[in-house]
Amino acid sequence: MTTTTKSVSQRDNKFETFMWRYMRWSGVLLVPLVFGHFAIMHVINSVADISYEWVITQRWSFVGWRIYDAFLLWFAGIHGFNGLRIAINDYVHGESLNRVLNILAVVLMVIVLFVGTAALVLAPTTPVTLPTG
Amino acid sequence: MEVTLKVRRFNPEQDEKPYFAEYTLKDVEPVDRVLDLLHHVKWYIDGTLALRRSCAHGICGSDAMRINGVNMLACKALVQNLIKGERGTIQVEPMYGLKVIKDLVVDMEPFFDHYRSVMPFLVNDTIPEGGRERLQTPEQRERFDEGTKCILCAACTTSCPSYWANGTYVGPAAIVQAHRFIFDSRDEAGADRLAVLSEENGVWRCRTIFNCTTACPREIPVTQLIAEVKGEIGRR
Repeated sequence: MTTTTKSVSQRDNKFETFMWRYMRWSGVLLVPLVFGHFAIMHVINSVADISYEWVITQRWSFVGWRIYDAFLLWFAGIHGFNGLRIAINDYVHGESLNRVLNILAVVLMVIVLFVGTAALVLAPTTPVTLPTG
Repeated sequence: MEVTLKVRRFNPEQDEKPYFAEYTLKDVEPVDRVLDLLHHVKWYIDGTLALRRSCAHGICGSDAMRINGVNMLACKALVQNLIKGERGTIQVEPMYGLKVIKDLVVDMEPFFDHYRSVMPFLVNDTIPEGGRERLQTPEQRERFDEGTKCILCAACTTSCPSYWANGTYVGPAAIVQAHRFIFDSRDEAGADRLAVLSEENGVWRCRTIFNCTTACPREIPVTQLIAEVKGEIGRR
C-alpha cells in the first residue's frame, strides 16, 4: 500500500477563502443590480428605443447611474470570470493547458473591465456627433 | 417478486469496456436487500461477480455502490424501497469517480489518501490536568457528534459531481473527518487541518450540491458539516 502525505502549509490559503466570500456577497448584490438593469433596459424602456443618445442623455448624464453600472460591471465581471476559473480548474487537469486557460481568463477579464470602466469614466455628458465620411 | 438485476460488470483483463449483465431472480422477498440479490447471483448463478462486503449490516461500509443511480449500502437497500409492484428492475453499478478494479470493486486508495491528508486523529501533546483524562462537557462532545458516525464507505465522496470532475478535491468524507477533530475541544491541530482545507482542493470545491447528504447511509448532514468548516475558515 502506498501512502501519499500532502505537505501541510502553516498558512491558510487566503485567496481561495477571499474569492469564496466574494462570490457569495457579489452574488447577493447582483440580484438587485441585475434585476434593476433588466427592468430599466428591457421592461420600462424598449430596446428598440435605446441608443447611444438615449444612454448619454437619459442615464449617464446622472453620475449615479454610472456608479450603478460600474458596480454591475465589476461585480458581474469578477464573479463571472472567477466562475470560469473554477470551471477550468475543475475540468482541465493538464497543468500547462490549465495555466494557459487561467492566464487567458485573467487577460479577458482585465480587457472587459478596462473597456467597460473606460466607457463609464470617459463617456461625455452630452451626446457627441461623430463626423461622418 | 421477480427482480431483474442489472449489474454493470467489467473485468479489465477480458473486457474492452464495461457492460450491463442482467440476472432474473424469482421469489424475491420485499424485505430482501440488494446485497442478498448480489449474493444469490454470485453464489448460484455466476461466481465471477466481484463485490466487496464485510459485516453486511451497515456498519463496516464495504458495500457502498450505486443502486438505481443513487449511492447507498447494498446491505441497507431493501428491494421493497426500490420496486413498487410484483416485478421490476434494479440497476447496480460501482461507485463513480474511483477506478474500477473489477465489477463492483473500486480502488479506494485515492479516497483514503484524501482521508489521511486531513490528519484524522486526535492531536494533543499537552498533559491533561491531573495527568489522567481530557475532560469534556456533554455540549462539547455533542458539537462534533455527527462526524463520529462516519464509516468511511465513500458513498458521499463518490456521489459528488465536484469529485467526479476533479479527483484532487479532498471530498466530503475527508471534510467530515476533519470536522470531527476541528470541533473537538480536546484537539490542538485544528489550524493545521483548516490550512489543508482552505487550499484550492479543500472545502471551496464544494458547490453545495447536497448529493453527499442524500447518499450518506449514516444520515450525517454532510453538506452542513462542510458549511461549518467553511465558516470556521472564514472566521479566522
